[in-house]
Amino acid sequence: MSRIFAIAFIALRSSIRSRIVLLLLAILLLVVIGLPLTVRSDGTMAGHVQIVLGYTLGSVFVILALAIVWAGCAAVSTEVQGRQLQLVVTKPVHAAQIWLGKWLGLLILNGVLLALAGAVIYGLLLWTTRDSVTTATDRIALREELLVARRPIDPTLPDIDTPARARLEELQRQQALPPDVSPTLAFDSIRHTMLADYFTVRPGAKREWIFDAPPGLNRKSSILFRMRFNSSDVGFSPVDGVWRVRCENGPEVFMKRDARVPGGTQTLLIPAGSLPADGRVIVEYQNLNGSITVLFDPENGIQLLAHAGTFEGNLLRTLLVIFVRLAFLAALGVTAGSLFSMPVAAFVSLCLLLLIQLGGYMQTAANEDLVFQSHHDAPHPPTARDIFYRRLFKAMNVVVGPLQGPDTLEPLSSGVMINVSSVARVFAVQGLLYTGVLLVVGSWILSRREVALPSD
Amino acid sequence: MAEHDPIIRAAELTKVFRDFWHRPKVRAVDHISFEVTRGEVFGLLGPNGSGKSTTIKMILGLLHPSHGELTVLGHPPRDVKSKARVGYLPEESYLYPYLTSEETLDFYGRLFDITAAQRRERVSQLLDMIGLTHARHRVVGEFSKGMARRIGLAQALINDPDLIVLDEPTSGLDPIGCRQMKDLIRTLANRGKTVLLSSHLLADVEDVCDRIAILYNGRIQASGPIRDLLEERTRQRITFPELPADALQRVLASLREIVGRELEVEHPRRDLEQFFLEVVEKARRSTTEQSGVGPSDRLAEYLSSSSAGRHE
Repeated sequence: MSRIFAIAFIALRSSIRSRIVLLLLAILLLVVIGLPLTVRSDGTMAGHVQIVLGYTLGSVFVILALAIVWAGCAAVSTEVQGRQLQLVVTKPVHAAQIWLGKWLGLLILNGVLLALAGAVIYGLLLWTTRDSVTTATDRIALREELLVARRPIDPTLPDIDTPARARLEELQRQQALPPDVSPTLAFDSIRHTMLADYFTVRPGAKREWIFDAPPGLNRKSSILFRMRFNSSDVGFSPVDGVWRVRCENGPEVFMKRDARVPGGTQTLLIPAGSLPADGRVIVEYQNLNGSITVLFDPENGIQLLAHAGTFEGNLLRTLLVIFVRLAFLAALGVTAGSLFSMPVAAFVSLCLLLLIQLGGYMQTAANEDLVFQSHHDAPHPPTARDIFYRRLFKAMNVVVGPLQGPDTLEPLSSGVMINVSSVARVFAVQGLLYTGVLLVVGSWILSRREVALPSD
Repeated sequence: MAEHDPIIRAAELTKVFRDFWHRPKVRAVDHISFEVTRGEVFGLLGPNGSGKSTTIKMILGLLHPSHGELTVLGHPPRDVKSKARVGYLPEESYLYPYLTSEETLDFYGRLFDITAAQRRERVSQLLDMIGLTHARHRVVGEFSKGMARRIGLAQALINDPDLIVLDEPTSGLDPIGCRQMKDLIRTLANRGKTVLLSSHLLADVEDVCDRIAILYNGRIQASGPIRDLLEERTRQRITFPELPADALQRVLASLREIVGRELEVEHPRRDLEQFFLEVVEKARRSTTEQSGVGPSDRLAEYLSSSSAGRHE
């Protein structure tokens, strides 16, 4: 370990002496303090928190990610060029120790910078939401919706697959399916329509959603309902409705009538202590409009959010996820720098970063059969090119997919709990598995590389 | 590794540099074989581009042989077991310019897993030995070439090595520094250390080496003990104190009777290096104001006892 720490110390000193740290610190401070002051929110507390946390922390991650990849590439490649590595390699040091030392030095430095940025962002958030500059409504929103960690619970869906399959069979019997629509596509379409219907409340009608509350549901604290809906009214006029909450086989515990403008995310707070000690939670919405249909989003359009932890814990978990991702990126840079000279290593690393960012597109391309056949006018078996690309994207998605997500910034800034299990998963996949693979590859390259070639 | 086994053994050692497409580009070292035994100073001599540095870099594991066998202290060159007992002074300063002298030596000491207390002690002794105690907190990047060279030498000795590899050891040093370097090499050899050096400065090699190999175009052109290689066995020289003229004539007459041909009589000349050092030493003693930057004549204490054979 002494050798690894010695090399880590050199990597740290190198960064500090090259003034990259000062530059990074200046840029980070500029972003952390400047961004919330220059970007204007929509005037709500949610908008303000979104900017201070989501945008700022997101920018901090992007800056540190680019810096750590760059510094990682430089850590080995510039020492090969400057010949300093020749002296290190002639000492009794294993290639893995050199790799780990460089990686650790960068990680310590970026960890400190991330912690500093996190502390400044937290301080700034507290300062800009202090009691003297916020209204009572703002403070409730901050306490109950934003600066908190709530666990989302989705409504339990009824069995949609069985009626969807029955409907498909009926259409097939009637030979009512268009010839260019495959049964799979038709089933998906029917299922999607039925699901949307479950989240649709027609004029004057009522709809109930049942929430199988988990055993750990905190019923003593307040409960938040979060909903996203649109209406059939193109004029976006407010829709009038009544919300009722009760527990299964229990009396009504909450009722509120209000008029809400469609679009965006909206909330409804059920005061603390309203729910009984057990039983499934049932939420009912009654559409009081004569001609307007209310359409809730089938994807997270209505959720119950129960208190599950503190905002500080959530922030810490987010910083941990960012830190683990930085660890992976540092590994990527050090490995690329072990193989290539500085400009080539930086170019290769940035290309790989781009590839990782395109992971979502690759997933779609790999899964959506139609993507490759869209140029055909009529149904057509996939061509060899279609099959090749689909397999290529699938293979790439297998490698890059685990490096995607989870997105922690959006939940953090909207008060949604970031689970320890998601943090553990990021740690296991990106921090241990992928970084471990890069350690093995990088060490192998370093052990095989001739560091005193005349061309170096 | 037995006591009499060679410290370095190279057999048919070859290095071919290849281009991006793996096509042979340059044959820098071409089937050379040699051995370096314990306690000797072995010199690789040759003009620029003759393959000296390439050979040294293969011995240090910085380059991989294309062909042939190479063992260092009984192990392959890239084995950490052999690296733990080797000290290396490269041709140029490959030090970290942002570290101080003390940090530099401490860093390399840590790479040998030397304890903190031992490192502190060795760093102090080495800085004293190379005369840079006063500059222990100065960053190496500010040093002159000679000072950086001395730090380079100190880092090569931090692990009390059994084999010391010196690539152009006197490069960048002034005549005093050169003399001190050569004295140090001899002292280390007397303490049981094995020294392999490369140089194109013939006088340096002649002064310190026990055996040499002369390389040209990647091949060994001549090798052996330096005394054997340079000795002219068909001629002899007799040196004695200055004689009065008549006594000298009598001696010459006697010798002519035996040798039977013309004799050469001349005063022996000191070499320029020796003369220069005497002048500087005299000037140093007469100067009242001392700069105090000169190296001490003492070897670092921990290097003073022979370590040869203790790692078996």
